[in-house]
Amino acid sequence: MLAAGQEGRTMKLDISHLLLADPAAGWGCSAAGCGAPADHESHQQPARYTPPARAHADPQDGAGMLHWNLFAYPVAIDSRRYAFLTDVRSVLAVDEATFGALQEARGGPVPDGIPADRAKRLLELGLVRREPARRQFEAVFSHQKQAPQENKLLHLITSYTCNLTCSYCFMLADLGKHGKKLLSFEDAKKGIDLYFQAPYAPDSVIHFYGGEPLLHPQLIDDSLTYIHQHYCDTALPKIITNGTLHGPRVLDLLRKYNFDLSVSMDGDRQAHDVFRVDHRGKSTFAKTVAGIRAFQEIGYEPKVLITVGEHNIRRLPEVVSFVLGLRPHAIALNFPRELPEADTGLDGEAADAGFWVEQYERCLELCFEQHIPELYFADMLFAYLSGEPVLSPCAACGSQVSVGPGAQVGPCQAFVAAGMFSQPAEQYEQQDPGGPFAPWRNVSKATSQKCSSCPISAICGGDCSFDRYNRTGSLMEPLPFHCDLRLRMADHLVRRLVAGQPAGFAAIG
Amino acid sequence: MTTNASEELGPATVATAVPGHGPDAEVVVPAAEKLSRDEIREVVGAKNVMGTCSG
Repeated sequence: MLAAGQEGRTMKLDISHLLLADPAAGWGCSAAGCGAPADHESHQQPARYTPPARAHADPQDGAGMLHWNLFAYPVAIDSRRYAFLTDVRSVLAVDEATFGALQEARGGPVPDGIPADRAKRLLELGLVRREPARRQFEAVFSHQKQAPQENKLLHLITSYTCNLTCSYCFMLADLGKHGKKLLSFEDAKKGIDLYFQAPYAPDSVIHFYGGEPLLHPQLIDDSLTYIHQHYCDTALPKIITNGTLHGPRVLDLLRKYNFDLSVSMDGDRQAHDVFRVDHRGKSTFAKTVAGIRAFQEIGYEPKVLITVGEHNIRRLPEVVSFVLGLRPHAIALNFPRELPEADTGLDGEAADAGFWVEQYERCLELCFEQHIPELYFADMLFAYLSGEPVLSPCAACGSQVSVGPGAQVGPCQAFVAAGMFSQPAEQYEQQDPGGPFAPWRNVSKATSQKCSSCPISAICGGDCSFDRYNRTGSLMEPLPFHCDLRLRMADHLVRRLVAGQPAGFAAIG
Repeated sequence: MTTNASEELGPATVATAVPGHGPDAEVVVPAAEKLSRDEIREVVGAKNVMGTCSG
């Protein structure tokens, strides 16, 4: 995404070197877009396409071999069948045979024998293309214009300490066994310098992370002052806080800058206090609610980030209803991340992924009713509404720098905390082929077998590389649950579009 | 901003007809227009529409 005034710095993205062999070759579940193993059942449908025994596609029209549109995502809504063309962002009603064909298609060749007039119409509708799947993928993503070498997000990990003791926190787990727990201003400056000495977006996000960043208001103030004086006064400061610190010094800091402010909260008191307790094991629920109120009173519209787990999934719609009642600017439903060699106590979706996805969709409905965005769905909306497919599954793949205590630098804040994919700032060289940034340069939808054959990859907002790595040992492929979740988001978007409902959360009129 | 409602469709709707059968595909939501970042913020209802890494 370009910031205003950056037109002169755009370039055409060449992804040809990242492309796999024709993804239509197939693997795993045959359902279009599903990256799950072949025995996965949730997308199996009875309909199968039986091609008529007729002539080949119209040679006089120059059609030659035709291929199904890789980006045609079949969606069933009650008895109706649709194809969501995520490359051109339109929806077609299709008959059962076409629907069945799309489920099998994955951008593969249209069988011989299709009548020439039908082939022509399918081409006009965008259901089939002249190009094979690999070329279709390349065309969609190579037409996006962006500045791939540009830094967009700087994480400053203020500390690995917190006034809360949430066992699921990947920053507090001390996986990296760091000698230094606090980020000094001198180390913060090292990170700021190396970030801004590379090409950067003028609306770069400066994200103060923790631990609890509001334990360190002076460090935040000093860092932003340094950035404004030496580099850029248009950067956007961001904080994720537990919301329990809202004394005069914190409120003064929040008044001084216009932060993108998020509060972590797991729902009502029953859900919140399962994990989010202080060092004496005491409830922090009341303090967090008071913090949200305090922030709102000085003009902020904080977002609320809800960590989802077994502690709140059964009651998730109730939990989300409570949070929406606090009138946050937006919410995000964060699903559990696996940590290596650490038991967070936060059980994931493995036992009942389908139910978790259903609970997510129920909460999405609540967000639409209240006109309060859910941020992962908002990611998909951004790609859908902008027409700018995002090739990277996460910001760490090429546009992010994270700096932690001891001036440890890497592309992802979670990995820096875990002591992985990181190095001392003094050794930093972003293009170093042996450095921690190198492996991320090949992490892309184009190099993922699942993503490069997925019909919703043009609108998918991606997932978490830290979670990928900790569950699979690789950065390359998305996790089946996250694919299921985003396919359901696409289903939901189609349902809204064909019903004539607004795609976005904003109230109309 | 259009809502892409199916009822807004008019002549742009294209149907394919197989002889002896009904239409096998028709456009019910036309290709969405590309919106600017400010327009997207307005539609989505969020001030910042950036990646959701931890929110």
